[in-house]
Amino acid sequence: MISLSFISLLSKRSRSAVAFSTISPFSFSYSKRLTSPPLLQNFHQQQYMIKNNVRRTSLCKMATDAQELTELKRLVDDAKEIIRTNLETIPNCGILQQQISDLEIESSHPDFWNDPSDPRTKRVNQELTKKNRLLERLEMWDKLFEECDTALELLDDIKRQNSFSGNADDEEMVELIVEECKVAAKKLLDDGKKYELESLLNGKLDDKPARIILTAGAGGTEACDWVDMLHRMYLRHAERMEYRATIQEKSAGDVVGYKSVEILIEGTNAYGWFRGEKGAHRLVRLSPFNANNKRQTTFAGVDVIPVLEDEEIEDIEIPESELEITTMRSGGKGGQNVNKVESGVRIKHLPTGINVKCTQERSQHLNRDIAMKRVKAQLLALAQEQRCEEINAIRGDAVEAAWGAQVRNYVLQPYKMVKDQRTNWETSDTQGFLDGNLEDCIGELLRARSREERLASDGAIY
Amino acid sequence: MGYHDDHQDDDDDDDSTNNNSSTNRTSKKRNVFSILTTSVDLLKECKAPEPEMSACHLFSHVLLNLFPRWEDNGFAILAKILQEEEQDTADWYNDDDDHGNHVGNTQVTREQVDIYASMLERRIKKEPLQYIIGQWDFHNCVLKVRPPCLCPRPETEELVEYVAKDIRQMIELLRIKSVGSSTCGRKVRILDVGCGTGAIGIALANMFPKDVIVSSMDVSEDAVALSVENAKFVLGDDFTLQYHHPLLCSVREYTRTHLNKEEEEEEEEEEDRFANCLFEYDVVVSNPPYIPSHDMSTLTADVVEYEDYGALCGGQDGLDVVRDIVERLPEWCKGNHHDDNDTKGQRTKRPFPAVCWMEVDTSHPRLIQSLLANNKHVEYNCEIQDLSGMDRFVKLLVKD
Repeated sequence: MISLSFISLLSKRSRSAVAFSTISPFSFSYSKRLTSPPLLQNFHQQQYMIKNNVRRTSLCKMATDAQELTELKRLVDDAKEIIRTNLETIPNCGILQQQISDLEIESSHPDFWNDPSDPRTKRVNQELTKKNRLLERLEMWDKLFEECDTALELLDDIKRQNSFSGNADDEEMVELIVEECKVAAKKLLDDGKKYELESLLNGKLDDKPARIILTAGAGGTEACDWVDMLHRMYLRHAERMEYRATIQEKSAGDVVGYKSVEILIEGTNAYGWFRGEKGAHRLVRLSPFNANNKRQTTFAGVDVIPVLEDEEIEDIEIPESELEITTMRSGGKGGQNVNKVESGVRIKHLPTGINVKCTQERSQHLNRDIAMKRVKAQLLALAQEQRCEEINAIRGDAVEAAWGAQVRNYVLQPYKMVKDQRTNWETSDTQGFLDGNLEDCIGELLRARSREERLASDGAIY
Repeated sequence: MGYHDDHQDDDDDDDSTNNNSSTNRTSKKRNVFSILTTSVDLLKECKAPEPEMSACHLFSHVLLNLFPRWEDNGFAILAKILQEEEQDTADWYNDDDDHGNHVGNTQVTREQVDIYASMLERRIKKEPLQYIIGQWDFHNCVLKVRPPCLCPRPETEELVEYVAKDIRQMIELLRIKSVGSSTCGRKVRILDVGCGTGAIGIALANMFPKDVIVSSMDVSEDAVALSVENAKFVLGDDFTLQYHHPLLCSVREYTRTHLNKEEEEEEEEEEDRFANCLFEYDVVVSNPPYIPSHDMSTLTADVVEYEDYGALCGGQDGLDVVRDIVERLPEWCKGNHHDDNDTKGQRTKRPFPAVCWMEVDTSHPRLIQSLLANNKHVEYNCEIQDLSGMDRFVKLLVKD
C-alpha cells in the first residue's frame, strides 16, 4: 500500500516539520473542534505539516496497532478455547431451559412449599438456582463472544478501509474498540478458567465448609513454629480466595507457636478446594530455635474435614463395637457420689483410628453428639477419598498411610523451593507461597486429580 | 486474699472496655486474662474443686458484655485463653471472629470483679457451681437448679437417652396399632419417680412433645415447686399438656390399695388425691437416692454439705427407694389401657411390656437381679454401664 521510498520521504519531511511544530496529534484532534486553529506562518504549510504529523503518528500507531491486534486476537482465541472445553460438559441452552421449566413447574405446585425442610424441596431449589445461574453464565459468554467477534470484525474493516486516511476520529474509535474487546476477552477468559476449576470441584462433599486441623509433628519448638507459619498461610490464602476463615481452637506450644490449630473455612466449595492439603507438610530450614542454628527438618500434619448438615450424617450408623467413647473426667465412683462439671467427651473409631474430642458444651450429652457428628463427617470424607460406596468399605490401613503421606516440601535453606509431591508443581517464591499464594499449586492439583478420576472411571468400565 | 489487689490498686476509673492488642497481658490492669489467671491460682491455693473449670464457668457468667447469652458458652472461650498463658499475643491473627486475643484484653469493670469475687468465695467454700449460677444445661434443655434439689449429673443424661430409645419404639408400635382407626396412637405415659429439678421428665417431654404425657412425684416441696418452674421454663406456659403437675408424695404413698383397715378414713382422702391418676404407666423412670449409707462419709464436701441428704442416701445398701418402686410397679403399670381400643372398639392389650429404667449405684445391678429372682410380676432385663465404664443403669420389665 505505502511504498518504502514514500515512507522515508515522509519521515524526512515530518522530522523537520516536527522540529517546528507545536502541534501534537492529540491537540490536532481537539483543535479540529476549535473554531480557530493555532496560527502558523502559512495556512497551507500548516495544513501540510498537520497532515504529515498525523500521518506519521498514524503510521507509528498502525505499526503498534498491528501488534496489538495480533495479541488481542490471541487473547480472544484463548478465551474461546477455554469456553469451548467448558461447553463440552454443559447441556446446550435449549436443553437447559427445558430443565429449568420442568423444575419451575414442580416448584409452582401448591404442595411444594408445605415442608420447606423436606430434602426434595431443598434439592429442587438448589438445582433451580444452579441451573439458572448456569444459564445466565452461558448467556454472558455468548454476549462476550459476540462483542469480541464484532470488535475484531470492525477492526479488520477499519484496517482495510482506513489504512491511510489517518483519520484521527477513527483512531480514537479504534482505540476504544481495542480496549473494549480486550476487556471482554479477559472477562471471558477469567470466567472460563473459574468455571473450569469449579467443575473440577464436583465431588459429593466438595461444596461443604471445611475444617482444617493442623498438628505439630515431632520436633518440639520448631514444629510448633511450623504450625504457626502454616496456619498463617492458610488464613491469608483463604482471604485471597474470598473465603471466610475463623480459628476454632488453638493449643499453644510450650515456647512459641502452636501444638495444634483448628480453622473453619466457609465459602463456595471450601472443602473441595482445601481437601488436597491433607497430609504431612515438610519444612527444611535453619532453625532459629536450634542452639547451633542447624538445618532441621520438621513435619506438620494437616487434616481437612467437611462440615456436614445433620441430615446428611443422620443416616450413618456406626456399630457400638467400633467406637470407644470416654469422658474426660478422671476415674472414681461417679454418679450421685460426685458433682463434677467437666463434661468433655472423646470418641475413637477403632477401625480407622479417627480420634475426636469435644469440650465446648456444658452438657456431656451435647458434647457426645457433636463428637459423634464429627466422627461421621470424617468417615464420609474418607469414603469419598477412597471412592467407597459404603462407610464400612473404608480401608483402615490406607487411612494411616494417607495421613502420614508427605504432600508438600518447603525448603527455605540452602535454596528456596516449595514442591508439591503429587503433581511435582514447584515454585521458588517460598515467601509468596507462605504468604498465601496457593492458587496455582492447588489448581494444578485439582486438574491432576480430575484427570486421575476420569482415568479411574474409564478404567472401571473394563 | 490475692484478688483484692486487682480492684484496689488502680486509680483510673476508666471502666470502658478497650482493646490494646499490644498490651502486656500480665500487667496489673483489670483485664479478663489477668483476672482469670489470678482467680485460678486463688482457687487452687484454697483447694476449691475443679479450679480451672470453676473459674471459667463463673467468670463467663459475670462477663455479660462479652457473653450475653447462656448459649454463647463463654466458659469454653475462657478455657482456651487459659491455655495460652505464656503466649505472646503480638502475632495473633487479627480477626474479629478470633475471640481469643480480643477477649483476653477486654477490661473488666469494678462491679464485675466484685460479683465474681463473691462467687469465688462461695466456690472456695465448695458450693456447687450449679447452685452459684442458678441454672445448668441438662440434655437439650437449660434447667434452673436450687438447693436442696440434686444437681443433675451427666449419667442421668445417658439414662434419658436409653429411655428415649424405648419410647421411640413404643410410639412406633402404638402408631402401627392405630392404623385404620380414626385416632392416631395414644401418648406414651411416663412416671418420673423422685423428680427433683424435674430433669428426666422434662427432658423426655422436650424430646417427644406430642407423643408423651409425663407424671412425676417427689417427697420434697421444693422439688415439686422447682419441677413446675422448670416445666414452664422449658416446655412453655401450656406445659400441662405434656407434663402434669408433680405430686407431693412418697413411693409407698402412691397407691390405691388400702394399707391398713384402721386408717380407712385417712386412706379415702389419700385415694381422693389419686382418683384422677391413671395407674397405667408405660414407662417408669427414676434416679432415686441410691448411695449406701456407709459411702456417705466418703463423699466430697461439695456434694454432702450442699445437696439434700435425702436425695442422696438410699439406706443401708442404698436400695430402700428401689425396693419400694419394685413393689409398686405392678400396680402402676397395669396393661389394658382404657383407651387402648382396636378398630372394633374392643379393649386390647398394650403392644409392648411396661418398662422401668433406673439409675443406681455400681453395686446394685447384681443385688436387684437377685431381689427379682422370685418376683412373678417384675422381671430383670439388663444392666448398662455409663461412659466411665461403671455399672449404672438397670432395665426392668413389668409382666402383665
